[in-house]
Order: sequence, then structure tokens, then C-alpha cells
Amino acid sequence: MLNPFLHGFVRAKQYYLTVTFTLALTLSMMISVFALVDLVFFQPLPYPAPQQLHQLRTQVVVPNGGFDGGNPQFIDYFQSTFDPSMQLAAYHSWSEYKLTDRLQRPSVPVRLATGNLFSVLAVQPHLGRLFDEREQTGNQQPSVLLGYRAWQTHFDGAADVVGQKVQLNKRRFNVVGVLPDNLVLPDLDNINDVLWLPMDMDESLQIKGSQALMGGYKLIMRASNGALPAEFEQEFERLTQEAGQLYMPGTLKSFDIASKLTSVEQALRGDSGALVLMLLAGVSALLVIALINLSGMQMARAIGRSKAVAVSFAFGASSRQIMLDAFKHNLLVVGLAVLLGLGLAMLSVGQIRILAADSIARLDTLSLSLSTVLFCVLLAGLIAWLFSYIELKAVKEDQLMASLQASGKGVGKQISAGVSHLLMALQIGLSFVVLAVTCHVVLLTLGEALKETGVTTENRWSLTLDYRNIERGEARLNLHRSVVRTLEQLPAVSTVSHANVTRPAETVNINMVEDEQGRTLANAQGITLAPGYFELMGMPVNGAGFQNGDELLEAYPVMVNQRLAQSMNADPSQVIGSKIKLGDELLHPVIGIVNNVSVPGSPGKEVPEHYRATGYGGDYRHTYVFVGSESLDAAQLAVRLASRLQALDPRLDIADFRSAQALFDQYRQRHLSAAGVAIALALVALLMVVAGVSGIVSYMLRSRRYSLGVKLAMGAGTSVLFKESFKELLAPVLMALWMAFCLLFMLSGYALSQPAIELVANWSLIGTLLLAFLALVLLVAYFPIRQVLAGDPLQALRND
Amino acid sequence: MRKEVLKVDRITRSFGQGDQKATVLNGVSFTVGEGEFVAISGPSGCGKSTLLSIMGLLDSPDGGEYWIDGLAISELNAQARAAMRGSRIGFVFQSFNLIDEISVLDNVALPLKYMGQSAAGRQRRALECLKSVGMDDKAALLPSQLSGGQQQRVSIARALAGESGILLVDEPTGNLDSKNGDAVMALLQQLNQQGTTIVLVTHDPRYADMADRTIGLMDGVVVDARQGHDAGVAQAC
Repeated sequence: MLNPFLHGFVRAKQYYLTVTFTLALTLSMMISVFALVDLVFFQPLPYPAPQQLHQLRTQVVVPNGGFDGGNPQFIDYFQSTFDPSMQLAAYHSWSEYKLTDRLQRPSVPVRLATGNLFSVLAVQPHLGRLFDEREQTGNQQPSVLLGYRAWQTHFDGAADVVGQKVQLNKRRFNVVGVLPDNLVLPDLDNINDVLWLPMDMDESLQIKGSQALMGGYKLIMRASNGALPAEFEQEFERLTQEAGQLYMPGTLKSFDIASKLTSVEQALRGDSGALVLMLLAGVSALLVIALINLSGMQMARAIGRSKAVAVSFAFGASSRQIMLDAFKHNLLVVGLAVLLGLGLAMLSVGQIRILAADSIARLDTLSLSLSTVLFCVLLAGLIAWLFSYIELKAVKEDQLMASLQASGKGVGKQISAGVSHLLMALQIGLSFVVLAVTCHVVLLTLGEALKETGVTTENRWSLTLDYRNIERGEARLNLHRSVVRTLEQLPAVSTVSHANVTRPAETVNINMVEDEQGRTLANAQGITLAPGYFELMGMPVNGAGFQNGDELLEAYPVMVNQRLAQSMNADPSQVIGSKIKLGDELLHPVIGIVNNVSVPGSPGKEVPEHYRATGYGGDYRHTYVFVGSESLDAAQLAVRLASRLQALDPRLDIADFRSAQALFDQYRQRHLSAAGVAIALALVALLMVVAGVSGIVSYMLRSRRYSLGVKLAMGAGTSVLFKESFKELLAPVLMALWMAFCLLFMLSGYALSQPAIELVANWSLIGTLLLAFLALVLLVAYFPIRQVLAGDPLQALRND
Repeated sequence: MRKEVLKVDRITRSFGQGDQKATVLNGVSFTVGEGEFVAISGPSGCGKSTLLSIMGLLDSPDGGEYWIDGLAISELNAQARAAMRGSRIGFVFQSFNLIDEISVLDNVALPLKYMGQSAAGRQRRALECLKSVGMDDKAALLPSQLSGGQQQRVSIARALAGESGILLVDEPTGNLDSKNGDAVMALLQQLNQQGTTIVLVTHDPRYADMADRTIGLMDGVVVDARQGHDAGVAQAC
């Protein structure tokens, strides 16, 4: 079987390569997106009776949106007043800890849970036990539960891990169990990679007495059997208002508080359903294009093979035998394509995990299942059968001479010119839509990824240190001064400054900013920094800079960025000199406005900011920025820094050390990858339309080689035939492009009605693409026409 | 009397529809005896090749009946017709119709494959057939590497492979020069002397005269049936 296949491949490389790659690309996209659809819409939660699980969301409604979160005191109030058959539990996304008893002190993400979280979910431990009443809030039990993959990664999957003690930062914890490998929870990514601590066992989180909503604090509930969400949703809303009055009276003076009950399934799905459906629509369009492409290629091949099939018939082969032979051959081709497609799908699943990590929940569980592989095998068989059937049906068994005479008059069951045109028009139209949409995505994502940051990153370095192992504030302060001196003394380092956040900043410490009358102006991030920070980072300041001694003032002066300034007053010149309240009753004068910092790829980090000059305030994390010379070697510098800081105090940890450029680049990456995927999709669409149009035009011409020959014999020149063929092609091509334009117009209208979709149609781009696409299609059609005309259609008239 | 192996009875065949309908065969009848060499001749367009296609089960008549070894073909289903083509008929085409993707040996072995013979058996038999036409040294080549005369010899070897005993030969010299044409005809005569029944379609009277009997066709009907150089028993009906 291999020899004829290899001979065939050498003779028809274009066919084999096009079919294999078209199928492989289509299958890989289809498998990846179907895996996503399965994950988002059909995969059940790994918990018994998942329909009873609900997420309770509370939200402070602020002028420009809302702030989601939870208050630990609410849970006590709900539990004491709510239907006792409803079980409530909470979890909190928290920071990273260090496994300090390990030589490398690796960081590991930590999440916090109430003692009953896992019993509410009704999961079974993989090893040991789950949290129970011993870990109830208030007991301060030093227990740790290992996420399955954290157990594999940091404990080598040791079976005797339960009962061991681990050092997390400054404290020792007992490992009480290992969680199963498929845990999922709303608003938490990769939770199988984390360690779980009891809610009251974090060293810095104060959960009692909080008068605000904590962004990462989430409540879930298991409803009693048979209880309908509609029945307790109103009750929950009422209790939220009561709890708000009790525990957040200050906030409720200015804002409303709202609540929402969502099934855990829906909460996990979130907005990702629409995203996945859009992906599915895109891939379905490509699938249709590919199917048309393949059918065109296969029909052209069937005509080419009709003589061989007819000869086999003539020498006694039955339809079954011919079908079987063709099936074996096609299975080899399709099987190869399926293997390639599976490989590509595995790669693309990895890419999806990176690209959509923030958009689709439980992506860490996304994988190609055995049923997907079986489906692919079945599909390969089906496609191979279909290909064989097309080959077989190109020859009429009871009129074999027609095929054997190879006249090209047209043999067997052929598709009509109308159907050929329709297939081509569909392919061109859909390809154009895919191309236009992907070009918009490329422009949008690249525009975001490559936008200016507004700061100078060249030769700037950022070092974040973790002081949490140094207990006394005064010791931290002394150490901080030593760190600054150490950095200043480093060769190739010229200027040093510092702040309480990295740049771009993680959006924490969002506080309300009020005017002198107590009216809320905005929610803004408070940043403390050393004088000279703005100059070092190249952030232009309008107004006065900080003065020595500013940090000592109680009503200290502040600077604001342009975003906050705009919220304060439409006329920025009125902002400097005005006064604002920052969560206290003191009025802080605004002495300057700083240019905005943009975060390419993460507009969510572009928030209003206010700055205060204080130096180091004893926080457990602090970031130093410095200017290094151009010749500075990053790896050497990292080693030197580590040894110098170790010498200063071995308890000092380097939490992060990167160039300022790298800090910004990490956010660009997702948009750059998305642009890459969009470019790949656009190229696939282009390749498919090139192969498809070439295949269908080739088919149409080959099946009409006889009539072309007759026309030539009757005195038509090749140039006349060229013109005729092009004229014939233009009608379906123009029809397709017109239909595609109309479809895009409708899509653009739909996109405008959907606030979540940021794509806005760029009609000049679409117009340019339209013309380019028309030129491409005509160019692609030119080659098969030339090939057939150069291949002497007169030969078709001879009985050769 | 020779045993009657082929019987054509009032065969008709038309192409096109309505006003465009052209009747190519209009009630053709004759028989062919075992081991006989019959030539069908006539001018171009008289229906010779169409008749041979029907006799080779490559086409179906619109009317009339056709028997092979006393079996009425119209009563056979597609499977049985395929089996009949493989086991009882060897067809030689004017344009050779060799499959370009496979070797000369595989081309000759093709009918044996569909008869269910083992690969080794097919190879052995195909080589024998190639030897009998003097082409065994070209077994590994592809058809495109052969001359027209060589391709026609391979085509004859393929027709012999199934040991069908009946060769239907359609203008075998049409695409060959006279030297190669003569060689092919000599080969056919030799095969006939070895007992193979041959029905030859030709418009060349020189080659028609080599047959035991010639059936003349004109406008779809038999107009002449005469003995060749060595008279046989069968006669045109």
C-alpha cells in the first residue's frame, strides 16, 4: 500500500500537502475549540449535586461601576440568621508564601478557606483529611492542605506527606491532607497548584472587625435539597442589606450595597460562554471553508483518478473492492492529517491556557480526552470513507468506456457549474469574513500591546524585597537604608529610588478619594514613594515636586496622576492647589499632576493614582528602582545582588528582580500572543482560500477540458479563453465578496450592541482588504487556468 | 462445431435524447465460438467500439441480450458482472489504459488482485504473462517509461493474466506504427493458436484478414459476415 502512496505523493504533491495540512489545521482548531466548549458548557463540576452550589456575591456600587468582594463578618451574620439547612463557606485568594525550610525557598501560592469549605463542596481528600471543625475560624490551627499539583511539584507526590511539618514563611504548619486533582472554584485560577491554610492563619490578614469588602473574599453556599434559588435569593438580598448596615455603616453612607446569587456553574462560566461561542463561530466558518476546499480538491482528484478506477472495474474489480482500496489509501492520508492535527491541538491547548487564563475558568483542567482522540479516529474513518465514495462515484460502472477514453468530456457524477460557483463563493465569502475579523483583532491587540508606557524603561531595573522575616519595624528601616546604600555602591548603578509598589503597580490599596465637602471623586490607588522617583522613571510632573520634610506633615501634600485629576475637575489647572480627603478627615493639598502610566496589555491596571512622599514605611514588601549602565549584565547583577543582600541580612528575600522593560513586557505578552493567534487564523483562512479556489477552478476547468479543446480547435486563442474563464469566475467572486461585506456590516452592528465586544469596524481597512482579496482570488485562479490551457486541451479531443 | 462462448442477440445502443438521439447499434446479432478469432470491422462511427464495450461489460445495451458461456448478462447484478469481467474477459484497449502510478508488473497483476489471488501468486502469474509477450525485463518500470508498442504488449499481458480464455481487443494497433502493429497482431495470432478466443475490432482490412471470420458493421447493423483465411463454424446471425 505504501509504494502506490509514495508514487502518488510524488506525482500529486500539491494535492497531498494541501489535503493533509488543511485537514490537520482544521481538526486542530476544531478539537481545541470543542474541548473549550466541552469545558465551559458541558463538563460537570467535580462535586456531588453541583446544582445545589451557589456563589453569593456582594458588591459596593460606586459611580463608575462596582466593587465585588466579601466581608468575613457577613458570613457569621448569614449563618446565624439564614435557614440552617443552607451551608455557607468562604475562601480567600491570597498571596504567595515561601517554603522557608527548603534550600531554594521556593514561592508557593496560598489560598485561605473556612473549616467547612471542602465539606460544603463535598469533595473527598486524595490523602489524609480535609479541614474540619478543628480549622474553624478562631481556632488558629496551623494546618495546611496541599493542592494536588502542589503536592506533586513541591513534595514529589510523597505518600507519607500527611503528618509532616512544613515551614511557611515564619511558621510551621502540619500537613493534614492532599486535595483531589480536579478542584475548581469561581474567581480562582490554578487552585490545584496552591496550598490551603485556615482563614485565620495568615500572618497579615485581619478578618475580624473589617469594615470593608475584601476583593478576594468569596462566599459559597450549598442549598438544601430541593430548595430553589428564587426562594432564597430575596432573603439573601435582605440579609446583605442588614449585614451592610451592621458591619459597613460608613460605606453605606456614600454607596449602595448589592447582592447577587449565581450558581457555581454559572459563576465559573462567567463571561467566557460568549467568548467561547465566538471562537466556535470563527472555527465553524473555517471548518466550512475547509470542507469546501477539501471537497473541491477531492472532486478534482476523483476526475484525475477516474481512468484508474475504470480500469480496475474493467478487469473485474467490484465496487466494494475499489472502495476498500481507495479507503485504505485515503485512511493513510487522513490518518496522517489527524495525527498532525492532534499534535497541533495539544500545542494550541497549551496556548489557550496561557492566552485565556484570565477569561475562562478551570482552564488548568483543559486537556484532550480519550473521547476526543476516539472521536478523531472516527472522524478520520468517516472522511476517508467520504473521499473514497467521491472517487468511486466519479465513474459510472455501467458506462466505463466514457471514463476509459479519458476525453475530459466529463465523466461520472459531476457537480454542475452552479454548484461549483456556489462552493467557491461560500469559501471566498467566509474566508473574507474570517480575514476581516482577524485583521481587526490583530490591529486591536497589537495596538494595545505596543502602546507607549509613559515611563522610561531603558536601563531601569526594579528590585522588590520581602522584609516579612524581619519582625521589628526599626530593624526593617535600618535594613532598608543599608539596601539603598548597597545599591548606590554597586558599579554601573547611578541613581536609586524606591516606592511601595512595582511599576506597573499591582492594583491594591484602592481607596476612596473625596473632595473637601466629602463628595466621592474616585477610587484611587495610593502609592508612597521616595523623592526622585518620578525623575528616575521619566514621569513628567506638572506643578511643584515634593519637598524635604513633606513626609513628616500630618496633612501631607499629594500628587495625582492625570486620570485622578480628570475625575476631580475637568480643568486640570484647577486641580493643583485643591484639597482632597484620603480615607481620613484630613485635607491633603494637591501639589502636582503626574503624567499617566499606561500598561500595554492590561488596561485594568490603568487606574487613578495619588502619590505621597514618605520613604520606606516598614511594609513587608518594598520596591527599589535604579538606573544601570548600558553595559550592565543582568545575570551577573542578579548574582551580585543576591550575595550582597544575603550578607546584609540572610532573612531578606528577593521577591522579584527584573528590568523595568521586562515588568511591562509581561503584560504585553498575552496581547502579542492573541495577535499571533489572529495572524495564524488569518493565514489559515488565506491559505485555505488559495488552495480552495485553486482546487475548484482546477476542477471546473479539467471537467471542461474537452469543451476548451473544442473552442481551441474552432479557432479560439488562449487569450480569449483566459478572458472567458475569468469572466465566468468574476460573477461568483463578486457575489461572495458582496455577501461577505453584508455579513460584516451585520456583525459590526451586533458588535456595537454588545458592550463586552471592543471591536469597532474599520471600514477603510475592510475596503482595502476587499480589493486585495479580489486581486488575490483572481491571481490564484490565474495559475490553474494557465496550467490547463498550457496542457493542450486539444489532446482531450483525441481518444488517447 | 465449436462451443459457443459469446452470443450477441439484437443488441441496440443509443446516445443522447429526443431529437439529438443517435442510434449507434441497431439490432446487432452474432455468436463467437471457443478458440475462434473474429474481427469486427467497419468505418469510423459504425459502432465497433461500442459493441466491443458491451461485449466486455464496460457498457450496457439499451435492448437485446448478450450471453457469455450461456449466461444472460442482463440477469447478472453488478457484483456478478464484475466477477465475469475478471474471470472470463480480457480487454485490450486502443489507448492501453495502463495505470500510471503503479509498475508494469502491478498493472498486469491487477485483475488477479480482484480475483482474490495471493500477492506471491499474482506476481508469479504476472511475470509469466509478461514473459509470454516478451516484456518480463520491463516488469519494474512504470508505464510512462515504455514505448507505445511496449505498453500495448503489457496491456495484452494484463488481459491474459486472468486466464479468461477470451480476449476483446479494441483497435490494438491504432496508436502504433506499422512495425509495432504487426508485432502485436503476430502476438494475437500466436495466442489464438494456443486456444484463446479473440474478438478484434479494427478498421484495417489487412489485420481483419488475419481473423477466422470478419463481421462488417455499417450504421449500427451487421452488413457483412465473411470467412477469413481459415474458416470457422460461427456465422453472423
